[in-house]
Amino acid sequence: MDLTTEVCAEASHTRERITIDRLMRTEIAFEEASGKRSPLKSLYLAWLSNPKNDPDTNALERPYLHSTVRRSSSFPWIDVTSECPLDYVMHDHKGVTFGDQSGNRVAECPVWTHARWCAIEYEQCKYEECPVAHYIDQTIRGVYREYLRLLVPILSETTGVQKIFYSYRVLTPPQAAP
Amino acid sequence: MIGKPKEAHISIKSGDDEWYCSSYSPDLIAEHECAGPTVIFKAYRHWREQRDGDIPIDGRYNPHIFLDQDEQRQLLHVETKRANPQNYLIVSHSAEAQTTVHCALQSLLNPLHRRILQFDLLECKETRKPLYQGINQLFDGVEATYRRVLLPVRDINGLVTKVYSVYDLIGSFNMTPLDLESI
Repeated sequence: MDLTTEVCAEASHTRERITIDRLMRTEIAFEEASGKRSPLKSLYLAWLSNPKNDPDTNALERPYLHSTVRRSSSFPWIDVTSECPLDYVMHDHKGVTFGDQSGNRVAECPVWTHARWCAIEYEQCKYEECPVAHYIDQTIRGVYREYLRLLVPILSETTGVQKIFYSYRVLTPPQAAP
Repeated sequence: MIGKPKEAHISIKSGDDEWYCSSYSPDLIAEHECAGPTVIFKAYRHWREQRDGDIPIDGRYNPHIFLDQDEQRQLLHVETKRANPQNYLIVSHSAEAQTTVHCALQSLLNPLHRRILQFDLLECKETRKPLYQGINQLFDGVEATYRRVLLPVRDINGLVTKVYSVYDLIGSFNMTPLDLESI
C-alpha cells in the first residue's frame, strides 16, 4: 500500500495506507485489550450494514450512539460534491489540531501539507468508492500525535460519492514533539 | 547554500513506483545555476518580469520567445480552467515539428504520476506561487531525475488559467531525496 513521508518547516508526517483487514484486526485487538469500543470498527460495521449506502437512512449514525466513545455529534463527514478536491467541505469537524473547521474548504486548513494529503485521501475514497484507512504519524507546529483514520464513502447509483464519513482513533495523544 | 532552508521533502512509495521530491524557495533558482542560465532560470526570470499584480497575465507571459528549439522541448503548460483537475489539459508544443499535443491529465496512465501532478498543479493554482522542485521518480520502471518549476498565469479576472511547467533533466537516479544543493 502507499507510504508517504513529508518533512517541511511547520509539519512532518508519515501516512501509510493500510488494508481494511489489517485495520479491523488492529481494532479487534484494541477492543479485547482495552474493553472499549473502537470508533473505527463501529463506523466500518455501520457502513457494511448499510449496503445500499443510502444517506437518508442515517444507518451510519446509529452505532455511534452506543459507542463508549462519547461525543456531542455524529460522525464527522466531508462533502465531496465538488469536482476539485481542495474545495471539499468539512462538516462536524471538531478537530484537535486546528479547532472547529466545520463549513471550511479543505484548502482552508491552516497547514497546507495537511490540507493536501487529506484532500488526496478523500479523493481516493471518492473515486475508489471503498473504505480507505491510514496510519498517520505527524507533527504539526511542534505537536506530535499518532492515529488511525478510516474514511467510508456514501454511494449513490445516480450521483456517485458525494459524502464521506470518517472516524479516527488516537494511538498517541497530542504532545510536545520529541 | 548553507543556512538556506529547504521547504519540504516528500517521499512516496506506491507499489513499484517511487517519487522523491524536494521543494525549494524559487529565490534559490538563481543560486542553483551551475554554468550559464538554464531554461528554468530564463523562464522564471521572464515570469517575474511579466508579473502584473501577483502573477503574469496569460498572453503576456510567453517563454517560447526567448527559448531555442531544444529548450522549448523542456517547456509545456497545463490549462487549468476546468473545475475538475482530472480534466486539466496538458499542452506541449513543438516549434520544430510545428505540432501541438493536448493530453488530459486523467489520461496519464500511471496513477501515482497522475495524483502527484494533479496536486502539484492544484497547489500552484491555489497558492498562486511558483513551485520549484528537485524530483527523482520511478514510474512504470522508467527513472528520471530533474528540476522543475511550475509557473502560474492568470486571466483578466485574476483566475489562474494556465500553469507553465519547465524542467531540466539532471544527474543520475539514485532513489533518494534529491538535494539540489549538492549538485
